[in-house]
Amino acid sequence: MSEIFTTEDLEALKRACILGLSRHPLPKKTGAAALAVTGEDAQPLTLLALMAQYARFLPPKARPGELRATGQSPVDDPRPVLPEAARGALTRLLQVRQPSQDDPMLQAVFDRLRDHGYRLHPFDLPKLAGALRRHEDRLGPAERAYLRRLRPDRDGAEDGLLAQTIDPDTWTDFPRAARLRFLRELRATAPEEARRLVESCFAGEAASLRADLVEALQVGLSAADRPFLESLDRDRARTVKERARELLAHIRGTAAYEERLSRVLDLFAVKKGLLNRRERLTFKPPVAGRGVDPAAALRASLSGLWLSDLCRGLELSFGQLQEMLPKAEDGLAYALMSCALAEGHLDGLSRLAATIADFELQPALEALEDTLWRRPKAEQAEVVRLLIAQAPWDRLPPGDAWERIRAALDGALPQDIAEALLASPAWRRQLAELRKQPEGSLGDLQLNAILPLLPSTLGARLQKDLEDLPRHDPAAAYAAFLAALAEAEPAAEAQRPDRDRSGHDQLGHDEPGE
Amino acid sequence: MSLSLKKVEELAPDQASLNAAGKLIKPAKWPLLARETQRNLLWGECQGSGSNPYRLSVDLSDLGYRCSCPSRKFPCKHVLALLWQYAESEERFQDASAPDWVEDWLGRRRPKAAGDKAKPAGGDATGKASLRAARKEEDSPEKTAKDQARAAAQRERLRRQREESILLGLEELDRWIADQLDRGIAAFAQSAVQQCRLAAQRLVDAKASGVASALDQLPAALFALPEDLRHDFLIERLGGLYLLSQAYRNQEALPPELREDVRRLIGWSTRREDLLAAPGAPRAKGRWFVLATRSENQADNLRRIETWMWRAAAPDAEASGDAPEFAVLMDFVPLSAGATAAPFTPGECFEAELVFYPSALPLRAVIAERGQGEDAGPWPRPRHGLPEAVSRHFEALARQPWLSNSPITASETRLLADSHDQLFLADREQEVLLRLDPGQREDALPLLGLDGLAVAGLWDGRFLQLLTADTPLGRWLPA
Repeated sequence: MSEIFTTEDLEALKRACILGLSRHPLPKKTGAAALAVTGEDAQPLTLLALMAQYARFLPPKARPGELRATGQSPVDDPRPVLPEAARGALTRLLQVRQPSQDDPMLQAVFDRLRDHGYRLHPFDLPKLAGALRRHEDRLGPAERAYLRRLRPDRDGAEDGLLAQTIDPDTWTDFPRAARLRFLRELRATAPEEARRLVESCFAGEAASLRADLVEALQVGLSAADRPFLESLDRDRARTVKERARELLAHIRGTAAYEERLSRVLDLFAVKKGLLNRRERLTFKPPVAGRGVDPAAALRASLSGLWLSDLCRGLELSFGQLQEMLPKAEDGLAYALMSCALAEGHLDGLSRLAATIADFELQPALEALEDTLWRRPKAEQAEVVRLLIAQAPWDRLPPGDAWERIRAALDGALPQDIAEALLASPAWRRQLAELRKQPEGSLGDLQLNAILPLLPSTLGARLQKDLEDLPRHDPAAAYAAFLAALAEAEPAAEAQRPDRDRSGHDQLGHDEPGE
Repeated sequence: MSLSLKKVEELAPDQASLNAAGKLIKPAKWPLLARETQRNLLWGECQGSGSNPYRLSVDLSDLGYRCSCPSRKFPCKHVLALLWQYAESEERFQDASAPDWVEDWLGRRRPKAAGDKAKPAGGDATGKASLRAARKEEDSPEKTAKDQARAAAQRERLRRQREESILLGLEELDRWIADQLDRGIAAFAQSAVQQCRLAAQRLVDAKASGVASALDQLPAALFALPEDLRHDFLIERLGGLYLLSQAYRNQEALPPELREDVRRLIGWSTRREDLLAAPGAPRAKGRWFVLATRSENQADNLRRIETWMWRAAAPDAEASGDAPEFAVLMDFVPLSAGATAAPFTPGECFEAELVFYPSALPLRAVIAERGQGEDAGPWPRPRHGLPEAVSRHFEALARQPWLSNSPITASETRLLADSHDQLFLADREQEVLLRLDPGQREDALPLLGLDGLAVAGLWDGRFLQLLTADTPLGRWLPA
């Protein structure tokens, strides 16, 4: 077959077909060998049919560019693959969940996988591509390698980096989100080292990243950061200067801090009662701008100020302050809790919470939100534990509050709190209500906010609580995933990569529960 | 868990449905009848006119039901027939646990509020539907011999008319192809959609629906290709159409199987019943693995659902003669019926006897007899590598020149990427490199770096579409 057309024949035929026989007639004797086989006259259509069949018998025309070793592939990763039972449960969850941009349940899946030291099965990565992109900072090497492969603009040099673990030597090679996450985590445990890392690469980074790096220093902010932040007043970018000034205003001893403290102290007054001449504390809330929530304005004024500085300025002991707090000013008590937290005075925070008659989790979390995430991880969990201990369990806090807890913890609830939650009458009532809903858990915002916060150790119990739901219900599917994950844990322990002494595994992630 | 015939009558939307259901009460129509008494569930598979059976399930506690057929009658004749059989001969239903597809249906069902039980549709205004009447219809006397002879003569006359019409249509097709060559295929590509639609309409008028459909699909296939491949593709397709037209004119000179291929490609069809009854039709009995299901919307407002299957011979077994190794089941459902679930799931495996449409390369088939299904587990590895698979593709092409997709299997392969990030399936020595369909890139990336892949795919001479792969990490299927 390969002899019936010469290369010239083929070229001539193809050119004529493309340009049109009316303008480029076939040269005489073209395809003579082929036509000799068929015994026909030089009919263009016959030649076309022969050429078509001839082409189909040519060897595959791969013509690849330079084939190369695949480098880092989505299958190269020291972590064990998610066991099959848990993988099946995850597949079902993916089938039934409602896709959304902000999917706490899926984020929780990545977090629980990270806690257990597992990676996704490589064949599940395509199904999760969208979610992987949204949660890139929570992923391990295999998932990141897959995402890099998806990007057509990646260059070969990146392949080698994908295998690396993020650490002080390699962190600058990672994507922005992963770098910032690494930096915050390092600040929580070794703030000085983290700042030195920022200083070492700062000048060479783009302005937007410089601003983000400065902002990341909020975690573990201390007087030791002052020289570096003050040096940023000479930075070229306005955003960098502004963020540095904001941080300086939260460092005790700086002029900006003292100025803020003074302004806040002016809002307080200690007066004697007209009748019994007992001293009482009055407070004039700061003027909120148009459209600004007065509570938010109050929180912003007090944010980062130390409770002891306020007491000193008012010439009161903490006990006196607590006693003299205006009873009708719950907002002030919530805001002062953030001052106690800024100082690391958790006992003060707890006592202030106790002065609030109708203490609720949501306003407390709102008040602490700005300060909480700057504190070390262990302290964040402790604060959440304190707040939940104060919260009444006769009803579950709204979905928003759980969202804030999730943001603060960046992980699961401590085991004892989660157990208390599942044992509470409020939770049982929630389940009873859920059973009456024909659409299952889909519209239950509270439940959907609580589930991502539960540790996998409670998976079996949660699965039992939700056993009345059809197995296609997302909540039931998530519970099944958690239960399967918990059941697989012993096998994972054996294969898990070694963790170093700092409590980070090779991927720079904390031990579960830390 | 009992059901009365009266209840079945009440459920029927009209007498016609019951009549139709009556015709379905034959064991051969029901490869599967099963029940789960604990949960009052019935389910079954009913062989319809397509190659795959309809799957139906009934919850007897509230008479909720579901059938995969596109009927707009509720309940459809299949559900009525299932209930009818249960009411009459309960013992034909084997006790079993509900399979996944029944569980899926149960999971998606909304719990019915009290008092919202399945209402009996109960006949029409003129009277109730009755099983007795349906039986009567079923047992009505056959047509007389005279009627049959008249019908046969009528069919023959129509056949001759159609042959003439097709020949005229093909002449017009030849002229159309010649015109495209005169103008040049570079110009043709710019107006391919309109040109092909027009020519396809003429071929539909000429009753050559197969060629018409091929022309209708040409522009979509053309524009799905990278630009540098389009001219070659057009030359191949137009050349192939001319070859087909010539083959039809000279069909008497062709071997009988190839002649069947040519006639089918032109638009002649074979009824399922005729195929099953044909003594010479190729048959293959064995353990069939479902490799993939594909769905494509056609220009004629039908959705074509393809189920690709592979019959893996046991390593120690004698290959059962020339019995086909691959099969494709094709179902056509109206687009207006909405989303239709594929009848099989990739990875499924079952014992079955398939009957193939006569062909020089038997591939399209229907299920004649089917045993119980099971999860496939790892399938036996193909006994050849990629070079052998490509040789087989050429052999297949030599037998059936219009073959568009060659099913191939190969062991010991791996996926490679080139510097442009295109993916290739290669054998160990990289003697053969088959370029992967670019549309599969995202799905196939996790295979990079894995060695010893046993794959099945469809090769069209340009791109390989991977259907499945057995890998050290388990079975890979496209997402």
